[in-house]
Amino acid sequence: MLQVKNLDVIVGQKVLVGDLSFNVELGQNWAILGANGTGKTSLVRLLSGITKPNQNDILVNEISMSAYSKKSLAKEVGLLPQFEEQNYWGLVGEYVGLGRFAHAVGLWGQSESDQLMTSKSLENFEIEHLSHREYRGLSGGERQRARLASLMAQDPKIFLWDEPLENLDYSGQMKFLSWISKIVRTNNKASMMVIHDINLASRFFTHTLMVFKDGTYLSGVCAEIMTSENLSGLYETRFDQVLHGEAKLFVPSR
Amino acid sequence: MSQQSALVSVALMSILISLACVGFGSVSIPIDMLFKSIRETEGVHWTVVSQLRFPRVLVAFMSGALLAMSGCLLQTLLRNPLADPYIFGISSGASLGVLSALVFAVPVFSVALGFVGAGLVIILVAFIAHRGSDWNPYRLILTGVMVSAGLNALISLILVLSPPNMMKGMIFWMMGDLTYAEPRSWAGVLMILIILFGVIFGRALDAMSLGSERALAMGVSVKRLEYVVYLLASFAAVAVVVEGGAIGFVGLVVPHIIRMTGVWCHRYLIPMSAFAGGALVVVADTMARSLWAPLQLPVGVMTALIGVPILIYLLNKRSDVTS
Repeated sequence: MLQVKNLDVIVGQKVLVGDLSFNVELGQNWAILGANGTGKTSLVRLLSGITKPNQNDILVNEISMSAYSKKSLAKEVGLLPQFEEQNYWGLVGEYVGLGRFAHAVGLWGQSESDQLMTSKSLENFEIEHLSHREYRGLSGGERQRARLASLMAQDPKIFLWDEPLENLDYSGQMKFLSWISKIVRTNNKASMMVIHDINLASRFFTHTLMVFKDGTYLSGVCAEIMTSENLSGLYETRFDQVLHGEAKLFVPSR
Repeated sequence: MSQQSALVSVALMSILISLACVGFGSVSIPIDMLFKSIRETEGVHWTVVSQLRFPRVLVAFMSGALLAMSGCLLQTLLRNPLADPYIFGISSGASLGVLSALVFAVPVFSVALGFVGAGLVIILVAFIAHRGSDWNPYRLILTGVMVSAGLNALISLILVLSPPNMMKGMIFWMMGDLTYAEPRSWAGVLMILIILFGVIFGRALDAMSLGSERALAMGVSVKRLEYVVYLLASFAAVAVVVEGGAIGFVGLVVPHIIRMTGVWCHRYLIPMSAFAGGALVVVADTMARSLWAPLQLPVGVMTALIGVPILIYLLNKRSDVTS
């Protein structure tokens, strides 16, 4: 579905990750792990097509990403950036409905299926009671739910999330991650998420991309590469593995 | 009140207010006489209405509509609440052209030179903002403010060096003065074009207020949209400035007033700004030409005197407006 071949992630003049190659298929749920400033955000920006790689195009459905129009690409790959400008004056329902931009047919937008998808997204993130409130008036966590809902409404084949757990309470985090695992499995989607909580990553995700400080990377199935050894190298912090029932947990030590 | 009904009521009110203003002036025409003269299309009142009042109200309305929409578009483009139609120095460029025409005693060329000055500013700002890296709101706004500051220095120089008897006319023109303005059909076409643009591309503009990164990820062709918005907003400002000078505050204040009444989607915000801005300048101009009649005040003074208290009132009423 998404093919990355010999991609360099470059910020300014510096190559943060070199010669990156991996494939994401539908049904896979990826975590992107790495220390601060290793190029994770730049990577998801490249993967979503909002910045262009210097060379070696990224392929979506075996077609070069640059061959897509902005709208048709947004139906294949959707990114929720970590930050956005807070100039939106509308209601929560309208904010989430904006996610349907790429699907709008004709001038007036908002078909019945758009409205249905919008209300499903509001419901899924438990903010339907806020849909007539102003987006600006929401708390940080409520805002984050509305943001997540807007990418759900966009309904791309591949979801890209840049640290989406920010401001969410525990119940919100668990529900969100369970929802993602579920739609990836049942609705033929794929997801890649920049995340810092390795224990959530090992529980909910099928695949992992680790981006190291020296510009190298590891990619593969979680069970194989989520080891205390790799994580210790990744974060330059020693991790011990403990078992909690069936689940492997990693505890950082000083 | 829904945004649709708000748009309809503002549109109706603006048109009624503007028509009523046809009756006001140094010669006051009662409403029955007004209708009578329109029916008969003759007599002294008809001459006043058709030759003087109506064109004046029309040019005032179009100026206000263009300025308010220009300000609204630029506030979205630059993601800056302080943006107004003159932020790039378009008015300064036009002023420089017009003032040069006056100084060098070729007033017939004043409109043409105004166009040249403003056109050069539009190209210059886009060119400088684009060099080196991509243009972004930050580069664009700083470039505009710098170009504007430079031109204003030149204008001050011209004002200081020009003969004192010309100074008053120049200052009037720079404050915005519709005394010699005429309604131009191309300005009307531009006005309708921008209203249509706002209605058709309203959702893309809504998405732009989340920043270009988010808008791009949603599927908006941000670059193309930004160029179109930049050009339309600039042309609107030029169309007003070459006829009526730099009428202030309309472009800054009207979009905020509309937003504070609860209309935020650009699909409604742009047309409503047009109607409200049009009505505001019509009222301001009517006051400017009748309060001290036969002395005429610059309309730019009145727009500020009316618009500023309204905005401050709404700002106080809505304590939740932060950031």
